[in-house]
Amino acid sequence: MEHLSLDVLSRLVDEPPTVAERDHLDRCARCASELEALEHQTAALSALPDVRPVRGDWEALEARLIAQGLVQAAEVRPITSGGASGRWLRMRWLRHAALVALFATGATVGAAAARSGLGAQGDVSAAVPSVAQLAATTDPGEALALVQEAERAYIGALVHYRQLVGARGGDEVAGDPAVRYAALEQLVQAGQAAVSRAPADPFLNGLLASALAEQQAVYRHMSGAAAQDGWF
Amino acid sequence: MSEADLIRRACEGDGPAIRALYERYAPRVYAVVRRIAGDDEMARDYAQEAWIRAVRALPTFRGESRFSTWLHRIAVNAALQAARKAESRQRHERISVEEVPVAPAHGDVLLQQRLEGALDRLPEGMRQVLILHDVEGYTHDEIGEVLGVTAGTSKSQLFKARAKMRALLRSLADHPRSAGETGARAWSI
Repeated sequence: MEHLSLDVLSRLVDEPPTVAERDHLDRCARCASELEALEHQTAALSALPDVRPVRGDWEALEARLIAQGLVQAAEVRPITSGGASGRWLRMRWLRHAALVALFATGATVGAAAARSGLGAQGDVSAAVPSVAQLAATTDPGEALALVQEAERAYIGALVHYRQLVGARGGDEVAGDPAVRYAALEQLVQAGQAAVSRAPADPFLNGLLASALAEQQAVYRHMSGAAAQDGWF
Repeated sequence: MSEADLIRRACEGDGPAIRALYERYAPRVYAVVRRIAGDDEMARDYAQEAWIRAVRALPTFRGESRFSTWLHRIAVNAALQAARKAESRQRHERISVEEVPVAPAHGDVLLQQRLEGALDRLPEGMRQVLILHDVEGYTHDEIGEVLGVTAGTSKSQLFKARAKMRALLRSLADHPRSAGETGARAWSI
Protein backbone atom coordinates (compact mmCIF):
# COMPACT_ATOMS: atom_id res chain seq x y z
CA MET A 1 0.00 0.00 0.00
CA GLU A 2 1.37 3.38 -0.94
CA HIS A 3 1.24 5.86 1.92
CA LEU A 4 0.29 9.53 1.69
CA SER A 5 3.30 11.82 1.52
CA LEU A 6 4.11 14.23 4.32
CA ASP A 7 3.36 17.15 1.99
CA VAL A 8 -0.12 15.77 1.35
CA LEU A 9 -0.71 15.11 5.01
CA SER A 10 0.46 18.65 5.78
CA ARG A 11 -2.17 19.97 3.42
CA LEU A 12 -4.84 17.88 5.13
CA VAL A 13 -4.21 19.79 8.36
CA ASP A 14 -5.99 22.75 6.73
CA GLU A 15 -8.02 21.26 3.90
CA PRO A 16 -10.52 18.38 3.66
CA PRO A 17 -9.22 15.16 2.06
CA THR A 18 -10.32 13.92 -1.30
CA VAL A 19 -12.40 10.78 -1.39
CA ALA A 20 -9.34 8.67 -2.16
CA GLU A 21 -7.34 10.29 0.63
CA ARG A 22 -10.26 9.76 3.04
CA ASP A 23 -10.44 6.12 2.13
CA HIS A 24 -6.72 5.68 2.66
CA LEU A 25 -6.77 7.39 6.02
CA ASP A 26 -9.64 5.15 7.13
CA ARG A 27 -7.62 2.06 6.26
CA CYS A 28 -4.07 3.18 7.17
CA ALA A 29 -3.29 3.68 10.85
CA ARG A 30 0.19 4.91 10.09
CA CYS A 31 -0.98 7.79 7.87
CA ALA A 32 -3.84 8.62 10.24
CA SER A 33 -1.35 8.76 13.11
CA GLU A 34 1.02 10.91 11.10
CA LEU A 35 -1.79 13.33 10.26
CA GLU A 36 -2.71 13.54 13.90
CA ALA A 37 0.91 14.29 14.78
CA LEU A 38 0.97 17.09 12.20
CA GLU A 39 -2.22 18.54 13.65
CA HIS A 40 -0.66 18.48 17.12
CA GLN A 41 2.49 20.09 15.74
CA THR A 42 0.46 22.90 14.18
CA ALA A 43 -1.51 23.45 17.37
CA ALA A 44 1.68 23.50 19.41
CA LEU A 45 3.24 26.08 17.10
CA SER A 46 0.23 28.36 17.44
CA ALA A 47 0.56 28.14 21.22
CA LEU A 48 4.23 29.10 21.41
CA PRO A 49 4.66 31.79 24.05
CA ASP A 50 6.08 35.27 23.61
CA VAL A 51 9.74 35.74 24.39
CA ARG A 52 11.05 38.43 26.69
CA PRO A 53 14.11 40.18 25.27
CA VAL A 54 17.34 39.98 27.19
CA ARG A 55 18.02 42.50 29.90
CA GLY A 56 19.62 45.71 28.71
CA ASP A 57 17.89 45.80 25.38
CA TRP A 58 15.89 48.89 26.29
CA GLU A 59 19.04 50.84 27.17
CA ALA A 60 20.58 50.01 23.80
CA LEU A 61 17.38 50.92 22.01
CA GLU A 62 17.01 54.14 23.98
CA ALA A 63 20.53 55.19 23.01
CA ARG A 64 19.72 54.66 19.34
CA LEU A 65 16.40 56.47 19.62
CA ILE A 66 18.09 59.46 21.24
CA ALA A 67 20.91 59.41 18.68
CA GLN A 68 18.35 59.52 15.88
CA GLY A 69 16.39 62.30 17.53
CA LEU A 70 13.33 60.11 17.97
CA VAL A 71 13.12 60.57 21.72
CA GLN A 72 13.89 63.46 24.01
CA ALA A 73 16.63 62.98 26.58
CA ALA A 74 14.35 61.81 29.36
CA GLU A 75 16.77 61.96 32.25
CA VAL A 76 16.48 65.73 32.67
CA ARG A 77 12.72 65.96 32.28
CA PRO A 78 10.45 66.67 35.24
CA ILE A 79 8.86 63.70 36.95
CA THR A 80 5.12 63.79 36.64
CA SER A 81 3.87 60.43 37.82
CA GLY A 82 4.71 57.21 39.61
CA GLY A 83 5.02 53.74 38.17
CA ALA A 84 8.02 52.11 36.57
CA SER A 85 8.71 55.02 34.25
CA GLY A 86 8.41 57.50 37.08
CA ARG A 87 10.78 55.49 39.25
CA TRP A 88 13.21 55.22 36.39
CA LEU A 89 13.13 58.95 35.78
CA ARG A 90 13.36 59.73 39.47
CA MET A 91 16.39 57.46 39.73
CA ARG A 92 18.21 59.43 37.05
CA TRP A 93 17.17 62.73 38.56
CA LEU A 94 18.42 61.73 41.99
CA ARG A 95 21.61 60.42 40.53
CA HIS A 96 22.32 63.79 39.01
CA ALA A 97 21.48 65.48 42.27
CA ALA A 98 23.77 63.09 44.10
CA LEU A 99 26.55 63.70 41.61
CA VAL A 100 26.25 67.42 42.19
CA ALA A 101 26.69 66.72 45.90
CA LEU A 102 29.80 64.70 45.16
CA PHE A 103 31.22 67.33 42.84
CA ALA A 104 30.49 70.03 45.38
CA THR A 105 32.24 68.01 48.06
CA GLY A 106 35.25 67.51 45.88
CA ALA A 107 35.42 71.19 45.05
CA THR A 108 35.09 72.12 48.71
CA VAL A 109 37.84 69.72 49.68
CA GLY A 110 40.04 71.16 46.97
CA ALA A 111 39.35 74.70 48.11
CA ALA A 112 39.94 73.80 51.75
CA ALA A 113 43.22 72.19 50.84
CA ALA A 114 44.15 75.28 48.88
CA ARG A 115 43.32 77.59 51.77
CA SER A 116 45.18 75.48 54.30
CA GLY A 117 48.56 76.74 53.24
CA LEU A 118 48.80 75.39 49.75
CA GLY A 119 47.93 78.66 48.04
CA ALA A 120 45.10 81.06 47.39
CA GLN A 121 42.38 79.38 45.41
CA GLY A 122 39.44 81.47 46.56
CA ASP A 123 36.13 80.09 47.64
CA VAL A 124 35.51 77.49 44.97
CA SER A 125 32.54 76.03 46.80
CA ALA A 126 30.65 79.29 46.46
CA ALA A 127 30.67 78.84 42.70
CA VAL A 128 29.42 75.27 42.88
CA PRO A 129 25.68 74.71 42.47
CA SER A 130 24.04 73.04 45.42
CA VAL A 131 21.69 70.10 45.50
CA ALA A 132 18.96 72.49 46.62
CA GLN A 133 19.56 74.62 43.54
CA LEU A 134 19.23 71.63 41.28
CA ALA A 135 16.15 70.33 43.05
CA ALA A 136 14.48 73.73 42.67
CA THR A 137 15.17 73.83 38.96
CA THR A 138 12.31 72.94 36.67
CA ASP A 139 14.01 73.68 33.39
CA PRO A 140 15.85 70.61 32.02
CA GLY A 141 18.45 72.72 30.24
CA GLU A 142 19.21 74.69 33.35
CA ALA A 143 19.49 71.49 35.41
CA LEU A 144 21.93 70.04 32.93
CA ALA A 145 23.96 73.26 32.98
CA LEU A 146 24.12 73.10 36.79
CA VAL A 147 25.40 69.55 36.68
CA GLN A 148 28.03 70.50 34.13
CA GLU A 149 29.02 73.55 36.15
CA ALA A 150 29.46 71.41 39.26
CA GLU A 151 31.53 68.94 37.33
CA ARG A 152 33.76 71.70 35.96
CA ALA A 153 34.24 73.18 39.43
CA TYR A 154 35.17 69.78 40.84
CA ILE A 155 37.66 69.04 38.11
CA GLY A 156 39.08 72.57 38.31
CA ALA A 157 39.58 72.34 42.05
CA LEU A 158 41.14 68.92 41.77
CA VAL A 159 43.56 70.09 39.07
CA HIS A 160 44.48 73.16 41.10
CA TYR A 161 45.05 71.05 44.18
CA ARG A 162 47.36 68.73 42.32
CA GLN A 163 49.26 71.67 40.82
CA LEU A 164 49.81 73.14 44.27
CA VAL A 165 50.86 69.81 45.67
CA GLY A 166 53.32 69.41 42.81
CA ALA A 167 54.72 72.94 43.36
CA ARG A 168 55.37 72.10 46.99
CA GLY A 169 57.26 68.99 46.26
CA GLY A 170 53.99 67.20 46.54
CA ASP A 171 54.64 63.82 47.93
CA GLU A 172 54.83 64.94 51.49
CA VAL A 173 51.52 66.78 51.40
CA ALA A 174 49.76 64.46 49.01
CA GLY A 175 50.82 61.58 51.14
CA ASP A 176 49.59 63.19 54.35
CA PRO A 177 47.20 60.49 55.52
CA ALA A 178 45.32 62.78 57.89
CA VAL A 179 44.40 65.21 55.10
CA ARG A 180 43.54 62.34 52.81
CA TYR A 181 41.46 60.61 55.45
CA ALA A 182 39.47 63.79 56.10
CA ALA A 183 38.85 64.32 52.40
CA LEU A 184 37.77 60.72 51.99
CA GLU A 185 35.47 61.03 54.98
CA GLN A 186 33.63 63.86 53.25
CA LEU A 187 33.46 61.84 50.07
CA VAL A 188 32.10 58.82 51.96
CA GLN A 189 29.46 60.94 53.66
CA ALA A 190 28.39 62.45 50.36
CA GLY A 191 28.40 58.98 48.81
CA GLN A 192 26.24 57.59 51.60
CA ALA A 193 23.78 60.43 51.15
CA ALA A 194 23.72 59.80 47.43
CA VAL A 195 23.21 56.05 47.82
CA SER A 196 20.40 56.63 50.31
CA ARG A 197 18.63 58.62 47.59
CA ALA A 198 19.33 56.16 44.81
CA PRO A 199 20.04 52.84 46.55
CA ALA A 200 19.98 50.73 43.39
CA ASP A 201 22.32 52.90 41.36
CA PRO A 202 25.40 50.77 40.53
CA PHE A 203 27.58 53.79 39.74
CA LEU A 204 26.96 55.49 43.08
CA ASN A 205 27.33 52.23 44.98
CA GLY A 206 30.60 51.57 43.23
CA LEU A 207 31.83 55.06 44.03
CA LEU A 208 30.90 54.70 47.69
CA ALA A 209 32.52 51.27 47.92
CA SER A 210 35.72 52.64 46.39
CA ALA A 211 35.78 55.59 48.76
CA LEU A 212 35.21 53.33 51.77
CA ALA A 213 37.91 50.92 50.64
CA GLU A 214 40.35 53.76 50.10
CA GLN A 215 39.50 55.27 53.46
CA GLN A 216 40.07 51.94 55.20
CA ALA A 217 43.41 51.61 53.42
CA VAL A 218 44.43 55.06 54.65
CA TYR A 219 43.26 54.15 58.14
CA ARG A 220 45.35 50.97 58.11
CA HIS A 221 48.32 53.02 56.91
CA MET A 222 47.80 55.53 59.73
CA SER A 223 47.42 52.74 62.30
CA GLY A 224 50.58 51.09 61.09
CA ALA A 225 52.51 54.38 61.25
CA ALA A 226 51.17 55.08 64.73
CA ALA A 227 52.28 51.66 65.96
CA GLN A 228 55.76 52.28 64.59
CA ASP A 229 55.85 55.63 66.36
CA GLY A 230 54.92 53.92 69.60
CA TRP A 231 51.60 55.72 70.03
CA PHE A 232 50.18 52.74 71.87
CA MET B 1 -2.50 56.01 31.40
CA SER B 2 -4.44 54.68 28.42
CA GLU B 3 -2.76 53.23 25.38
CA ALA B 4 -4.06 56.10 23.25
CA ASP B 5 -2.43 58.60 25.63
CA LEU B 6 0.81 56.66 25.58
CA ILE B 7 0.81 56.64 21.78
CA ARG B 8 0.05 60.35 21.62
CA ARG B 9 2.90 61.15 23.99
CA ALA B 10 5.23 58.72 22.24
CA CYS B 11 4.53 60.54 18.97
CA GLU B 12 5.95 63.66 20.62
CA GLY B 13 9.16 61.83 21.51
CA ASP B 14 8.23 61.29 25.15
CA GLY B 15 10.78 58.75 26.43
CA PRO B 16 8.74 57.29 29.30
CA ALA B 17 5.73 56.80 27.00
CA ILE B 18 7.88 55.02 24.43
CA ARG B 19 9.35 52.87 27.15
CA ALA B 20 5.90 52.02 28.49
CA LEU B 21 4.88 50.84 25.02
CA TYR B 22 8.13 48.93 24.78
CA GLU B 23 7.56 47.20 28.10
CA ARG B 24 4.07 46.24 27.03
CA TYR B 25 4.89 44.86 23.59
CA ALA B 26 8.58 43.93 23.65
CA PRO B 27 7.91 40.21 24.31
CA ARG B 28 5.48 40.02 21.40
CA VAL B 29 7.83 41.84 19.04
CA TYR B 30 10.87 39.93 20.18
CA ALA B 31 9.12 36.58 19.82
CA VAL B 32 8.26 37.08 16.17
CA VAL B 33 11.61 38.61 15.15
CA ARG B 34 13.48 35.93 17.09
CA ARG B 35 11.69 33.18 15.22
CA ILE B 36 12.23 34.86 11.88
CA ALA B 37 15.88 35.53 12.68
CA GLY B 38 16.53 32.04 13.98
CA ASP B 39 19.36 33.46 16.06
CA ASP B 40 19.50 35.43 19.33
CA GLU B 41 22.11 37.95 18.26
CA MET B 42 20.40 38.80 15.01
CA ALA B 43 17.06 38.87 16.78
CA ARG B 44 18.26 41.66 19.04
CA ASP B 45 19.29 43.70 16.01
CA TYR B 46 16.03 42.96 14.24
CA ALA B 47 14.00 43.90 17.30
CA GLN B 48 15.82 47.21 17.68
CA GLU B 49 15.34 47.96 14.03
CA ALA B 50 11.65 47.13 14.36
CA TRP B 51 11.21 49.45 17.31
CA ILE B 52 13.07 52.29 15.64
CA ARG B 53 10.87 51.91 12.58
CA ALA B 54 7.78 51.81 14.73
CA VAL B 55 8.71 54.93 16.71
CA ARG B 56 9.52 56.73 13.49
CA ALA B 57 6.21 55.66 11.97
CA LEU B 58 4.12 56.44 15.06
CA PRO B 59 2.70 59.67 13.60
CA THR B 60 1.23 57.60 10.76
CA PHE B 61 -0.68 55.33 13.14
CA ARG B 62 -4.31 56.36 12.83
CA GLY B 63 -5.94 53.74 14.96
CA GLU B 64 -7.57 51.93 12.04
CA SER B 65 -6.22 48.68 13.42
CA ARG B 66 -5.17 47.73 16.91
CA PHE B 67 -1.80 49.15 17.88
CA SER B 68 -0.51 45.63 18.59
CA THR B 69 -1.47 44.52 15.07
CA TRP B 70 0.14 47.59 13.51
CA LEU B 71 3.31 47.10 15.55
CA HIS B 72 3.42 43.39 14.80
CA ARG B 73 3.26 44.04 11.08
CA ILE B 74 6.13 46.53 11.31
CA ALA B 75 8.16 44.01 13.30
CA VAL B 76 7.53 41.26 10.75
CA ASN B 77 8.46 43.52 7.85
CA ALA B 78 11.58 44.78 9.58
CA ALA B 79 12.70 41.26 10.44
CA LEU B 80 12.00 39.88 6.99
CA GLN B 81 13.86 42.73 5.33
CA ALA B 82 16.80 42.31 7.68
CA ALA B 83 16.78 38.57 7.16
CA ARG B 84 17.06 39.02 3.42
CA LYS B 85 20.24 40.98 3.98
CA ALA B 86 21.70 38.52 6.44
CA GLU B 87 24.17 36.16 4.90
CA SER B 88 24.89 34.19 8.01
CA ARG B 89 21.62 32.33 7.58
CA GLN B 90 23.37 29.63 5.59
CA ARG B 91 25.21 28.36 8.63
CA HIS B 92 21.93 27.33 10.21
CA GLU B 93 21.03 25.23 7.24
CA ARG B 94 24.36 23.45 7.49
CA ILE B 95 23.84 22.42 11.10
CA SER B 96 22.93 18.76 11.29
CA VAL B 97 20.25 17.48 13.59
CA GLU B 98 22.86 15.73 15.72
CA GLU B 99 24.46 19.08 16.51
CA VAL B 100 21.35 20.57 18.00
CA PRO B 101 22.24 21.86 21.45
CA VAL B 102 19.50 20.83 23.80
CA ALA B 103 19.41 21.37 27.54
CA PRO B 104 17.50 18.84 29.60
CA ALA B 105 13.99 20.02 30.35
CA HIS B 106 10.54 18.63 30.92
CA GLY B 107 6.93 18.98 29.80
CA ASP B 108 5.76 22.05 27.93
CA VAL B 109 9.08 23.82 28.23
CA LEU B 110 10.78 20.86 26.63
CA LEU B 111 8.25 20.79 23.84
CA GLN B 112 8.68 24.53 23.24
CA GLN B 113 12.44 24.16 23.13
CA ARG B 114 12.19 21.38 20.58
CA LEU B 115 9.80 23.35 18.44
CA GLU B 116 11.96 26.49 18.59
CA GLY B 117 15.05 24.44 17.86
CA ALA B 118 13.45 22.78 14.87
CA LEU B 119 12.13 26.13 13.62
CA ASP B 120 15.64 27.53 13.71
CA ARG B 121 16.79 24.72 11.47
CA LEU B 122 14.24 25.08 8.76
CA PRO B 123 15.39 26.65 5.50
CA GLU B 124 14.65 30.35 5.63
CA GLY B 125 11.78 30.50 3.14
CA MET B 126 9.97 27.59 4.78
CA ARG B 127 10.55 28.98 8.23
CA GLN B 128 9.13 32.37 7.36
CA VAL B 129 5.94 30.94 5.93
CA LEU B 130 5.50 28.46 8.77
CA ILE B 131 6.02 31.16 11.40
CA LEU B 132 3.70 33.62 9.74
CA HIS B 133 0.95 31.04 9.18
CA ASP B 134 1.10 28.51 11.98
CA VAL B 135 2.62 30.67 14.73
CA GLU B 136 1.37 34.16 13.91
CA GLY B 137 -1.90 33.25 12.24
CA TYR B 138 -1.43 35.14 8.96
CA THR B 139 -3.57 34.09 5.99
CA HIS B 140 -1.90 33.05 2.75
CA ASP B 141 -3.01 36.32 1.15
CA GLU B 142 -1.36 38.28 3.97
CA ILE B 143 1.79 36.18 3.71
CA GLY B 144 1.85 36.72 -0.03
CA GLU B 145 1.63 40.46 0.54
CA VAL B 146 4.39 40.50 3.14
CA LEU B 147 6.76 38.16 1.34
CA GLY B 148 5.96 39.29 -2.19
CA VAL B 149 4.80 35.88 -3.38
CA THR B 150 1.46 34.48 -4.50
CA ALA B 151 -0.94 32.90 -2.04
CA GLY B 152 -0.45 29.60 -3.87
CA THR B 153 3.30 29.75 -3.35
CA SER B 154 2.76 30.50 0.31
CA LYS B 155 0.47 27.50 0.64
CA SER B 156 2.90 25.19 -1.16
CA GLN B 157 5.77 26.39 1.03
CA LEU B 158 3.69 25.89 4.14
CA PHE B 159 2.95 22.26 3.39
CA LYS B 160 6.61 21.59 2.67
CA ALA B 161 7.62 23.43 5.84
CA ARG B 162 5.24 21.41 8.01
CA ALA B 163 6.55 18.20 6.51
CA LYS B 164 10.15 19.27 7.03
CA MET B 165 9.38 20.32 10.58
CA ARG B 166 7.78 16.97 11.26
CA ALA B 167 10.80 15.19 9.83
CA LEU B 168 13.15 17.29 11.95
CA LEU B 169 11.21 16.57 15.12
CA ARG B 170 10.97 12.88 14.33
CA SER B 171 14.67 12.71 13.55
CA LEU B 172 15.47 14.35 16.86
CA ALA B 173 13.20 11.86 18.60
CA ASP B 174 15.16 9.03 16.97
CA HIS B 175 18.42 10.47 18.36
CA PRO B 176 17.50 11.26 21.96
CA ARG B 177 21.04 10.83 23.22
CA SER B 178 22.49 13.41 20.87
CA ALA B 179 19.81 15.82 21.93
CA GLY B 180 20.31 15.19 25.62
CA GLU B 181 16.81 13.74 25.72
CA THR B 182 15.76 11.12 28.22
CA GLY B 183 12.09 10.76 27.47
CA ALA B 184 9.94 10.57 24.38
CA ARG B 185 6.91 12.39 25.74
CA ALA B 186 7.73 15.65 24.02
CA TRP B 187 8.14 13.93 20.72
CA SER B 188 4.70 12.49 20.60
CA ILE B 189 3.61 15.23 18.21
